[in-house]
Amino acid sequence: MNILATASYHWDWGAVFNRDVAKLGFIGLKYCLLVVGLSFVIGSALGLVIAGLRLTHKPPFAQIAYIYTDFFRTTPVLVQLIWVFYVLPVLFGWTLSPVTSGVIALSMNAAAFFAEVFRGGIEAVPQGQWDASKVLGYRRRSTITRIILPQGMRNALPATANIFISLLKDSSLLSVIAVPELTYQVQTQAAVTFRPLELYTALAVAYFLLTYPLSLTSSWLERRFRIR
Amino acid sequence: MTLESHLGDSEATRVDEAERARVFGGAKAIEFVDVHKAFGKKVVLDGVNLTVNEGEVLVLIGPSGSGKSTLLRCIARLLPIDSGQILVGGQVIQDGAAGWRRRMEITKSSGTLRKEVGMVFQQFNLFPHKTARENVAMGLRLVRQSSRDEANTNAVELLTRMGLGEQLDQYPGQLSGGQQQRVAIARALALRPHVMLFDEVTSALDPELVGEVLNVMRELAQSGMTMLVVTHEMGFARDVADRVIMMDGGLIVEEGSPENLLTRPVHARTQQFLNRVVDR
Repeated sequence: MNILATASYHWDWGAVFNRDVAKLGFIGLKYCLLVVGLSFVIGSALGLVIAGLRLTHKPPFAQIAYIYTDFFRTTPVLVQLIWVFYVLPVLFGWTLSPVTSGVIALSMNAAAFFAEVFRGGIEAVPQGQWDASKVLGYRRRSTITRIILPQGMRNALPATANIFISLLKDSSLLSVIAVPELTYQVQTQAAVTFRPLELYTALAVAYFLLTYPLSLTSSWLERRFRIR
Repeated sequence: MTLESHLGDSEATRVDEAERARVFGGAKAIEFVDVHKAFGKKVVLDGVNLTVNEGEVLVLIGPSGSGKSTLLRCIARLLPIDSGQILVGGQVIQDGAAGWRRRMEITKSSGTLRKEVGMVFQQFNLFPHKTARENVAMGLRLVRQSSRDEANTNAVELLTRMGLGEQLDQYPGQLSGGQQQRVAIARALALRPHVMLFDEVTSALDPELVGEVLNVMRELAQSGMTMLVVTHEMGFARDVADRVIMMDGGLIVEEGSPENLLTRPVHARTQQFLNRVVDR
């Protein structure tokens, strides 16, 4: 009976292609890109710092970096998000808006992955590059900013596109704390129109359309920035 | 313009005697005083004593693991020594007995002297994200504080004299091994060092590319540059060296003029080694 009912489900795509959904979808997209963009920028900056700490190989710094990356890679993003939103305000007595909480959680999570990717990229720069710079009398600072980082970042670039894709997908979790991004909009709309099947199908397609170009970009970057 | 033609009398590569006198003050170019160095339990330098005169071309030979490359890397301060002293131009640049405070002092006071020692590596170690021209000009800007134009002009002149006038704006990956190594030599020479270290610079090259690099080095030797060369090219040693040093087990086992050491070696280890190299 149920199976028959499913098979004979009457799809109504009018529930997706209408002015309301377009308007809400646009708002959702705006928030999605805002949150992902901010998290990408903050997360990569923080990730670079953590990679730097790790690469000092000095006891307190390297350990801090270690603990940081391990913690954020071994706990679910959803839990981190909820923790930032509900627990942090209690601990520190401040109030955070859903968007701020979301950006903090996603940034800190992405930073752990950025740190690993940057560290790998930097470590892949051959020792000979350090030797040559040293023999030429370059200061350590110049060596890092002009010789090591440019090469390390190129090594890391394709993998950062993957982090961007993960961020885009993880941003859907922000619906849980009522950030009005794409998934949240679809949820509310589905509750109003009782058309979740159409709306969630459209949502999946929307995420695909957002991320697929990025994965193409990733392989393009890989070719473009391969060191000649 | 052939390779052989201009390097010798080039403004960019000629050794400035007055400048050398100022920097070295008539001291020996390089001195090793009972230098020891070990990697863990493996001893690589086991009490090396060595003096290199200004303008001298010294070729180091010996089996792999005998400490030749380590010796060069210690002069370039890529490796710290365990005991003994290394002097460049009469100034201590490494002191195995020094505590960390003294080491800091040495590092500080010999900061300028590092620029007096240039090094070329087996694997070139060019900066792959920079063009040939940038590879050479960069050091002038960062270390010699040259202006952008000045550094650029110098780099172009030096590369042109190396026979690389056509390759100025190519990246290392677009160049042949021989071309890359010549860029690397130009990069080191740009800083006008008084001592050049060559660490098996032709070992990674295809046989047909070895000649062009050796020619550059020959010209450089004729211009009066003090050179320490680790190589397996016995022909080069015979033609160019003022003195050949045979190393084995972290020790200098024999030294002498190329004629004597290469044709009439006294030490059994040297005889063995030369036989094996020639047999190849």
